[in-house]
Amino acid sequence: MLLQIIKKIKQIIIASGIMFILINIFSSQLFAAKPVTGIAGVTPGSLRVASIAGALESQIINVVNGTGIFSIINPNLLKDQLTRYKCTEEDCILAFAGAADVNLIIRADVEDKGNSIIFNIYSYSINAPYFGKIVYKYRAEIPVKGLSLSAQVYNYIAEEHAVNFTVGLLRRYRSQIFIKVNNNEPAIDQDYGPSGVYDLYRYENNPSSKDNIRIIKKIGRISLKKDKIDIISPGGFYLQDNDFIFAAYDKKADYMENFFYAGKREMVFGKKPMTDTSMLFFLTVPMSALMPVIAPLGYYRTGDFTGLSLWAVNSLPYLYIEYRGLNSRFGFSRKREFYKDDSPDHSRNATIRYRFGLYMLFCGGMPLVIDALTGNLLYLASGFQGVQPYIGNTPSAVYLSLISGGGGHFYKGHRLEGYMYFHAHNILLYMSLKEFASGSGASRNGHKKKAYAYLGGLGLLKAIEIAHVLFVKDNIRNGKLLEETGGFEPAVYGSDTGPSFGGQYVYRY
Amino acid sequence: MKKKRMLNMNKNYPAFSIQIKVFFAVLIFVLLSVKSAFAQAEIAPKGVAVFGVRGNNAADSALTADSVEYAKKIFTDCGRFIPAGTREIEAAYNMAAKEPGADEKNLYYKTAAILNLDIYILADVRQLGTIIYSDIEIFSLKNEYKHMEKRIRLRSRLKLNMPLKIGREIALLHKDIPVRANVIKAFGDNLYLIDAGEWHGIRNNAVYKLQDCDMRAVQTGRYESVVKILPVKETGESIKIKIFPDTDKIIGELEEDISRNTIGMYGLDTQGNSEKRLLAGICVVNMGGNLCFPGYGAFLSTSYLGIKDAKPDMAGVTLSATAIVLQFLLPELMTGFKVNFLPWKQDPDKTDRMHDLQKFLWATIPITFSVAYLDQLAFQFNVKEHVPPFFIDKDNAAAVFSLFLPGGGLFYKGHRLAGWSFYFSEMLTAGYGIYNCDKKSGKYSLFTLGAIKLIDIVYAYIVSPSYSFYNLEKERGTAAVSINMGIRKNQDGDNIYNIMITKNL
Repeated sequence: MLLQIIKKIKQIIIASGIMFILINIFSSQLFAAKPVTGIAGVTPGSLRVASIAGALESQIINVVNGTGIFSIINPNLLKDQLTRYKCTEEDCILAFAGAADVNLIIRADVEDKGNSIIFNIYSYSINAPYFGKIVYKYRAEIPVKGLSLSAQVYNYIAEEHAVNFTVGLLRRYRSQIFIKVNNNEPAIDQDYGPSGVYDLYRYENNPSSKDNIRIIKKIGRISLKKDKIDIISPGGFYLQDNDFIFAAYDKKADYMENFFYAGKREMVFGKKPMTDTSMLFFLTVPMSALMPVIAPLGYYRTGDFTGLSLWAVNSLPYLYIEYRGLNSRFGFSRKREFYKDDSPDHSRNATIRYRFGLYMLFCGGMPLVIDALTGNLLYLASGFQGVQPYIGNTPSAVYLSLISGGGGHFYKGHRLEGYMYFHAHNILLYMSLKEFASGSGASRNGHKKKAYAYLGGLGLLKAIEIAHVLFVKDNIRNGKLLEETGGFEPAVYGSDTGPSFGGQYVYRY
Repeated sequence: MKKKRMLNMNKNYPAFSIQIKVFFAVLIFVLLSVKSAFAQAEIAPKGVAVFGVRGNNAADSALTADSVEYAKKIFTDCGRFIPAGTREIEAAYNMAAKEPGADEKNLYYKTAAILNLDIYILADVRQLGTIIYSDIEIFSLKNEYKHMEKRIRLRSRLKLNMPLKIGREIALLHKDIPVRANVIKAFGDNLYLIDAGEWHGIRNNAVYKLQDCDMRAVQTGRYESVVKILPVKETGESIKIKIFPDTDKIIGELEEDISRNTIGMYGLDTQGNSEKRLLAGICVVNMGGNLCFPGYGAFLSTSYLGIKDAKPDMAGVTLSATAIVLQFLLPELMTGFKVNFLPWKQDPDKTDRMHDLQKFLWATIPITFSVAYLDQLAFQFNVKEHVPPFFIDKDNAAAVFSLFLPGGGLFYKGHRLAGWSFYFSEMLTAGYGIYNCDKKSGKYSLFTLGAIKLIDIVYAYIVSPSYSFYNLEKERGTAAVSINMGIRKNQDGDNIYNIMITKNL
């Protein structure tokens, strides 16, 4: 009985797969050179996310189609076939893809988490070296709290995640391209010949071509130039019919990523005048001086309690030094430290604290004000909430990095790096101030040398920080990447003689 | 005509050249129904079916269907038993139903047997009053899974949570279950095809432990792998691969989702501003309220968090008012009302240590105000069935509250008695330490204060919240007898304190 059921199911799937192939053939959809790709739809987790699921589906189709790498089969037909045969489970879709000779299958679902939405996008490949495995799984959480979500914004968000997914897919996907040997003349089985240096692979004889999974063995390296195939491995080897290479699409992925980032940057930042930077220059001293008030109020206003906690922990030691340093000279409280203890050590420490206090007062507090004030603007920018003022200006980022520690990174939305530079800058500055104020007589020179060493370190740090801030992108990426898996380890293949190791790697968050 | 319509449908997609050889290959494929040469054309062998027992009404049936779908998702996440599809189950069920004399439960067994499953599950979800109950029964068809057979009863007040709670139980069932695979084919050279692949957690070229030897995955597919095993294996032989599912991660995510849904239901109605309002309430509103009406002002300030028709807990009001009055009058009481009431004035009767104590007591008045506020809030949260702001990150939030306020985290989690105990302990040790700071006993007292503070913070972090409506959502269903305590209101608005004992029958 069981066999009957399985047989019936097989028949249905094979029949639907065949019908599908015929439909595609008659509608001139097959393209042998490009990997045939099916997009099996996006399942919404609730009614609320149905519209964004629809937007995600059309954006995945548009973006994957726009790469020019894949040959997309008609998504409406595919969905119709799968729904008609209740083929919605993963294994059934894969079986369908296998029967219909679809190389790559993409499916997705959208989870509703109240204040956020989660996109799960999966891609599977039927061909070697995947044999049905997941090529790339993209899982991202998109916060929707405090955003005005129109259909247009949904489309923008969906487009960004479709691009992110496609970029990840292109970085991992390897397309199998065969070499045909006719009359000892090898030729690449591709309408357009890829060029470059490739590893060449061959199937082992056992398991054979009758089996579902084959073992792949690396044979050597070849060079392809306009259909001309040269063997470049030392010792050489003979090319055989159906040897193959894996084509990679990393460059296309980089191009897509940069292209989309540039477009989004222009959309959410607009053109920023230099007057923004000059305004920042004039506001530096008052904003820095009022940092202990402005920063917590800024975090409170936007409800950024993580930022508030980080600010409290990270700023407290410097605020303490600032308070004691300035109090020792100007005496806010009745106990004026500077005069309370006249010992040389105390006087020297008070001087160091005073000088550091002045730095904190005039510009040292600026990075934390920037973090408090720009965090929400960057959040709105990442959620496509129109053009945001004040942020996205490179000269402003450089100026902030120049005058203080981590200001430019905070400005661009990189809090971790910002705090690292903030602490490193403050510690080096404090140490150099300490050495300048230390020693007398013979020991003075030794301390001065140390002070210049610290100043040199600070200068080096500034150079690195400014170069880094110019290099780093504004953090306007929508949502948070929760999980990223690469299912492909192309450089490690087993054979009878043991595994062959290559130099590529798979990274996983 | 049909062909023309199809072409029109496809006009948005690039047209490509037909390859005749593909066409012929397909024709041969159709005519002979030969097994596909393409990979993964086989349907993967199924391991589990989840049957939803038909409910008495449409709402129960919908609840059951949701739960069944979610259970299948968790089986997939755990990667041990491939869930049978709806279509397969329907076909097998219809076949089983044709046999005479089968009652409903027997039908499920027969359906599972036809599908040659490892285990099957019956899920019965129904709503009784405000509570949704779910009975989950796990049956095994194979001896190696007999230990999984059990019956679990779950309950929840939220429809969204029931599938998640069922999912959590299913994930827990997977703890320590290795992959069991069958040798499908032997290729020679110690190479075998087995019916476990990436879906089950097997990675390319990794080496895994079997019962008596090692196994190397030479090439994996989604549901199958070619592996190398040195001892000879027969086709059909079962092997146990020692890989275990990461159930902790799955359960952690489910717990988070259950909390999120519960907070969504029982959160404060302040248009998403409850966190800001709590901080403003503590720092500004409550301070003013307590200055005007010590103790009672704390209750009045609770309305700022959107709590409607609240009634004060007079025991809490009295206790906090007493604490405030005591802080003002303690130096007077200790000196027989001889010293100046104001801390910034030191008269001859006010010794330095008494002056220090008085300054401490006055300086910590805002702390007592805040504790009084948290106490009233804890009462209102229990009675009005709300969870406090920041509850999605409740443990860290409680630790932070305890860091700044004595017993703050315990009030935050609803443990008022423990909160007050920590408050009085910390205030007494701090006051005694300051009063005797030049003596050894004073220093010991301050040291004790540090220890109590540390315990306060750690305890606030680890203790479970006392809110019964929240605990109901988080509870597991394995306990045969469960005890619940709570406060609710009757029709007249009076508080009813209840203790419930429930037993699974």
